[in-house]
Amino acid sequence: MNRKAFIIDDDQICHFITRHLIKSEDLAQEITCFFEAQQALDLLVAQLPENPPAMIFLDLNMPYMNGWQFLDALRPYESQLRCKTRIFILTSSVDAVDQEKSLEYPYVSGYFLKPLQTADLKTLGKLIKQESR
Amino acid sequence: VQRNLASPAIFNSSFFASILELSVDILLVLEPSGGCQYLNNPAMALLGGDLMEKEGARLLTKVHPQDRSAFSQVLTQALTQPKTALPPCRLQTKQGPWCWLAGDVINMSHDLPGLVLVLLLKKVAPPGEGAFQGNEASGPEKKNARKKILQWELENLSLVASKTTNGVIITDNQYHIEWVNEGFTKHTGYTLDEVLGLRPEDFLYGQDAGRETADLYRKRLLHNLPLTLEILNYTKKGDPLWFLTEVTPVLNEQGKTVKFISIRTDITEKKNRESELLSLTKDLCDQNRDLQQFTYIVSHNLRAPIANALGLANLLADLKPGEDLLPEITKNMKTSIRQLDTVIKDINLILSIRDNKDTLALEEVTFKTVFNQVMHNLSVSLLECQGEINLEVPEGYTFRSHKAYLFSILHNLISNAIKYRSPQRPLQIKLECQGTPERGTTISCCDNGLGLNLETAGKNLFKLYKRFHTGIPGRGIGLYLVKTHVETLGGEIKVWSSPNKGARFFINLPE
Repeated sequence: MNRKAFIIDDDQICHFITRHLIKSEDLAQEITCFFEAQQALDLLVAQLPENPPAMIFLDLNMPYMNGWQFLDALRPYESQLRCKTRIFILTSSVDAVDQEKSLEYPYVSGYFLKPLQTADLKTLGKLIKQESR
Repeated sequence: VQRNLASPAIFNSSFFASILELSVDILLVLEPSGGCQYLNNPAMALLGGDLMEKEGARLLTKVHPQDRSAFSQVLTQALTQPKTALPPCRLQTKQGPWCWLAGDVINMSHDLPGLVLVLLLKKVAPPGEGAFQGNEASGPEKKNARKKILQWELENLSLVASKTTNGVIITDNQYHIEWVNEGFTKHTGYTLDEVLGLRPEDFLYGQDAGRETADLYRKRLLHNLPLTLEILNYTKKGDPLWFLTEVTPVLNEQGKTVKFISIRTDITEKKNRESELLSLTKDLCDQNRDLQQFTYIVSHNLRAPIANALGLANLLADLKPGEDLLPEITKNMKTSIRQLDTVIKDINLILSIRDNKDTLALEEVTFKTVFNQVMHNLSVSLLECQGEINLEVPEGYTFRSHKAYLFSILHNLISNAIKYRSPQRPLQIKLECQGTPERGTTISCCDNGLGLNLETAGKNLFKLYKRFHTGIPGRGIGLYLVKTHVETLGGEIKVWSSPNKGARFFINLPE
């Protein structure tokens, strides 16, 4: 089973919390954190189609390339991402518009409000295990 | 029903009688001598029943003396042909006054032996000018009276046209000016001599809208419809004036337009009030939108550190024995709370600037002095990156402004230039300040740093908490503050930039 995860967020504290929770729930072994969405995008595209991460935690509000722009840039790879990589939006935005907008992207598997909770990761873990079976 | 007929019997038939009575026209039946045999009800009502009482040529006695000879001529003619037209003639009515009647005289002797002429008449308008018809004046006397009245009317009309405070223009049907009144000259400064033969759009409408306005005019007036519109004109001196203009086509007898009369009321004051109100409304809308955006941004940026602190607290609660995370959690907790504090301080700062907008006390500020204060803060970081700054400002230049705001504007612009310098070349900053009577004070800050792509960043460049460079720490508040300060001082800011070439900020602060 693929055991890689990406965390894309311009906030270091968020990296710390998310990484720690993923580890303690044993969802992934190899966790890569990015401050810039562009770097994550480059690496992801390089790993497609064979070896992409199983999950990506994506912040929305980031300088330079924000979460939406990252998702837009992934459009050409939609079919390659399917079943292999699950993208979860992880944001502090309480704006309902953002959540609605995330539904427009079929390759977005979930929308979490910060802070990420252990319960969120438990559901997420079940989801992934079910699928890999 | 009393029938007025002596003969022939046919008029006694009730069938004919009812048809004749139904007719609204005036119908008389004359015997060849001119005596009346029959009058229908409208005829009786108009001319009276006494015509029937005696036999003989009574009808002619009812005809106006002046028309009598024409009338008897027609009757004579009618005896020899089936139908003769009767031109308008005056007949005396039952009540006394004259009434103009005209119609046909029909000779019916072929069909009805003994009965000769039937007059079918209608009331008609007096021939010529109705207003001057009368039985008291006649001939040259009448003409004279009419002329006098016309003269009097003309004098009064021209008095109204020339003395009214409204502007009046009369043009021919090709819009060439034939006459303007004093009001027009008072409004626009142009005299009749100057504009005679010109078209209004040649000199009144200014550069831009002239053609369009003229075309609009033409389209409506093509259909000979009067037109009312609000129109912007320029005086001889070049001042803009708004007019409510009413254009009326003057038609000739054939219905063709021969002239246009344009009456113009000065509504500049009303228009100015309108545009003031409009700009006030726009200001309010802008401010409202700004505030909404501000609230949104702030709520987002307030929530981010709170969410982090909450997440860290959750980690603390779930901490398993033996995990050595406590120092890192504590450190991050502190950072989150400090960020929260910073956002709250930012809000306070921004609100206090916005609050000052109307009560800002301006003072005489020496540009060089404020610049020196800024450089006192920034010279170390400039030195560290081996950057250079060039200042161009007229010696001792002062202007009315706000010291702290100017300090903040310069500080943010220069520290941004230092922060976003290019690693490939030594930093060069050129700062220029000028004063012009028309534009007030202009400040230009130009650097050779990283620059940015305005196509992608442009919309957000001056927005709160927006950042455009990765790997360089920053809160995304500097340019927002610059813009807020500039706008609070009533000025505006513009930017030019291209990636990896540099950026130029241009500020204009009007007096």
